[in-house]
Amino acid sequence: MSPECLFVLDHYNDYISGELAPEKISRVEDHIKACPNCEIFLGKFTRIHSRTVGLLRAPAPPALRKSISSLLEKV
Amino acid sequence: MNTKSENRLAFENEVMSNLDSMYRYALHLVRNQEDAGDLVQETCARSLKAADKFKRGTNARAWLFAIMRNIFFNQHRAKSKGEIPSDWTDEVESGDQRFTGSVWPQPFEMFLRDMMREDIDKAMAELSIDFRSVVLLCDVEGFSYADTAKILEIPVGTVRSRLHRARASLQKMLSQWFNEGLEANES
Ligand SMILES: [Zn+2]
Repeated sequence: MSPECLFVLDHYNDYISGELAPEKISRVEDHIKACPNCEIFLGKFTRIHSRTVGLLRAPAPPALRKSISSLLEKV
Repeated sequence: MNTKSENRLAFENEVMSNLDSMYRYALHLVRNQEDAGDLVQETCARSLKAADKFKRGTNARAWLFAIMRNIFFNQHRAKSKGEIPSDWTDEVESGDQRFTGSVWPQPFEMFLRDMMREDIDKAMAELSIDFRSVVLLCDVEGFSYADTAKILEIPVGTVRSRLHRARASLQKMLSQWFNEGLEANES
């Protein structure tokens, strides 16, 4: 495992969170292009992550939306 | 009826556009749909009292979440620190949406989706409330680490480390499901 692999391991969570400085983003992305192991790892991680998060984004019930809307009208 | 102030209208707009997020956070706090609905109502009613002070560009969403959490702790645990942070005007990054979009276009997949939701809910329930909170705020709702730290009243470093550990736990619990369920389905 190269130092760049370790860099990715240290930073991929912040990368996914969008909390990484631009130069570090480039460093992660440059390495992923060059390293199949890291590419596979990060690809799998982000795939599970995005699907999990997507499924957790359930909407509010329509009845609640209605009652909040009328609460705002009234006051 | 009086004409509403511009601030007030902007505020109402924020409430309605953040309703899904507020409901999800309420559900996370109280764990049942009826109480979650009540908590959202109470949060809206409470925040309306301050609506005229609302300024465009304020991070209304973080503010609403902080109010909700405050009400919840007052009602359920009586250990709130009380004050809502006043500096909600900080810039907020909208969060990186690259990895968060829905990837389920076909109707056939509704079935799989429901099954997976159950597993994901179970996996989330396995996490402690501290870990679940950061997943919900950072990952599901897209708050920055800084805003999550403010809402939960914990240091940014704690947000980061909890989030990383929570994600690792979720991956561990769900990876088998995803590998089997999805790769078969994506061929
Ligand atoms: Zn590598």
